[in-house]
Amino acid sequence: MSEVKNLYLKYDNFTISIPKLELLDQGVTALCGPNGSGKTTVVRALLGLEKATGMEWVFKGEDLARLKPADRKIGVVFQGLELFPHMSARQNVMFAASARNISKTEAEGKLKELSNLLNVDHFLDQSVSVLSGGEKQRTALMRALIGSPRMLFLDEPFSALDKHLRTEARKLIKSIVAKHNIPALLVTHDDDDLKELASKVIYLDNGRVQTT
Amino acid sequence: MTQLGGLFFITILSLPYLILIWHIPQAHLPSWSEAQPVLLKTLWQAFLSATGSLFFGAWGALGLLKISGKRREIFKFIFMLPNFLPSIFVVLSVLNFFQPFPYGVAGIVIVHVLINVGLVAFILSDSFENQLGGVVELAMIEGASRFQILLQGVLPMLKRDLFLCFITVFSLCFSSFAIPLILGGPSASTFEILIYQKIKIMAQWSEALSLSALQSLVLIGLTLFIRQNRPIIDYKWRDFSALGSKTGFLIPLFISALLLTGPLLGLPAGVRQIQNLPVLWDMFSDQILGSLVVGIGSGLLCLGMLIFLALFYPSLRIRKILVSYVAPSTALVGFSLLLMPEIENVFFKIILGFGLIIFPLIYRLRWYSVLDALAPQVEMGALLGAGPFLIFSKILYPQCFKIACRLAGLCAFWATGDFAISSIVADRDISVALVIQGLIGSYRIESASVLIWPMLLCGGLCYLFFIGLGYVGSQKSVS
Repeated sequence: MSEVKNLYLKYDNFTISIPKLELLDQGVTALCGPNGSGKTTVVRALLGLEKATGMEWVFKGEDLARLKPADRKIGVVFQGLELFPHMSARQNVMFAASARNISKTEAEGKLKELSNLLNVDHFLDQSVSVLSGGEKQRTALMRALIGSPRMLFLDEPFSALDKHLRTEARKLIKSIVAKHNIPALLVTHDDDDLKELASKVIYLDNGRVQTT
Repeated sequence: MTQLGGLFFITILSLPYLILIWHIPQAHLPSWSEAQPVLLKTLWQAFLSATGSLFFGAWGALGLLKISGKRREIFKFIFMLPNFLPSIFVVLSVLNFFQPFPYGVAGIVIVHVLINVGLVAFILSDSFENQLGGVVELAMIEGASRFQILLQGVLPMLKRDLFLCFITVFSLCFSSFAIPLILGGPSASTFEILIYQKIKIMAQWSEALSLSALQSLVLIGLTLFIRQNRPIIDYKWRDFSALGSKTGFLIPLFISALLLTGPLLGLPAGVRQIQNLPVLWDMFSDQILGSLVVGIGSGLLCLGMLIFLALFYPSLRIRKILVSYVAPSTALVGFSLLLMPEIENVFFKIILGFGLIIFPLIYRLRWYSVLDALAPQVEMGALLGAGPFLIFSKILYPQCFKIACRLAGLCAFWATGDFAISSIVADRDISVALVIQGLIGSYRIESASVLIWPMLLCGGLCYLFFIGLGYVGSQKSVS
């Protein structure tokens, strides 16, 4: 279990006030709540993209809140995926590898392993701008995983997929979390996501944790 | 690092102020009796220019609504052409058409309106498409007349857009320098010209500095208005024909045709005049070269500044400061460069001065939105652990170098037509634009009408140079 303390953020007409938050260090912790409840803001604060002064996040004895965003080593898949549109799927993944200073040989080995797991071989060298929604999502997942992150953040990753693809994607996430033994934080407001994936659910409303 | 880069950049842009504050420790405002009539004249001409542009531009926008699909985009481009022409070309066009020309406030207003009608039509047609949504279609189905739709639908819904459009043109005309310099007549007709005269004729630098600071404050205030945009929703596919005017597009079309072809009128007489001026041809190769140096140099400086900003990718706050930043008055920039004896090369001075003036416009025109659009990718790159150089080389450069080159090309095109900064800094006619300004000043409109074409050609070549550079650079990034 990793513990987040003193997560306070204040905006003009919105406040995040979370004195304590516990995230699983195995399996999927789901962060759910209605639109505008502050889910994405909490994720951005944990990633270090929003400055939450005084926040602590002790993960296996280390306070991640003191680290720069990149040094927190969290793999992330945002709702918009944020793939680099001028690159191929392979280049997107290899960019992440070179950003983490992974040697080319090691990166290629990992890429092979991930592409087998995610079944992406057939589109790896295509530009991401021509990929389907599901293919894009798998590329984003691969990119998030290649740096061997300590945790995986998934911010409403299924929102752009149709019902059939959502089921597939959930299965995929479940197998990745199990196979890589990597804890994940899933932001969602979909009950099916909670049923299928969540080991723990944190309910957020109006910037405050209601129930866990 | 990015904050430091951004602050360094803002310092560079503020260089003229810093130089002047260094040399002139005390700034004094001129007496109210002297400043008041010029201020009123400036406000009056800016108000008339903005009102005229808004009236005819709105009509033009309604005309655009009658045209659908790709043809509308082509017409929009044609309408915008006067805004992309160098000021001296526009001035020459109107001097060819309106003879005798009404020098003074009336003349300035006419030219400002002619230049800005297309811009207003462009902006407002976008507002119609993005803000009105299905209201027009619904009103049409309900049986409302065009007049009713305009009065009860469009005006209340778009009054804010109309106001912002007015403010945009008002601020452009308020700070206009090149056009009042040629067409303003002997007395100071605008604030900019008063600043120019304060330095050039009266040597009252401290008053010029305070006037320029005052002008910048007004413009920054107006810019803050302009930035408050609503979210854009694209309703282009809707049917707006019920609102459109069949005759509306004729006015901006006529203006574009007039401004593009104006110098052709003086061409035959001009050729005869030029034949009697062999000395002009003798020195012309130097001036052509001068124009190319100014154009390419300004473009390269602009490209460097754009790339610098991408490399140091400033925070959102700095990006917002930059978008609200207003360049100091042209006269002030020019004269501040004269106070720098360390810079001896006149071309370098012109390039630097032109770059400092034009860059805020180039940034606001496109670069701001380019950097903004790439922000999520930059954020993702940083989260993945990439450093600034990797983010620049792998994410930003491949996606924005071509755009940067296009903007640098536009800057180079405008720079070849510059006579405002050049006439302050240069002690002789070093470019074609300066020769043309001299000819216009001595009422040899026809001769100027001949020389404007080589100037335009120089601008076109500079533009193509940067387009080529963008193509080559982007190919390299792919390979």
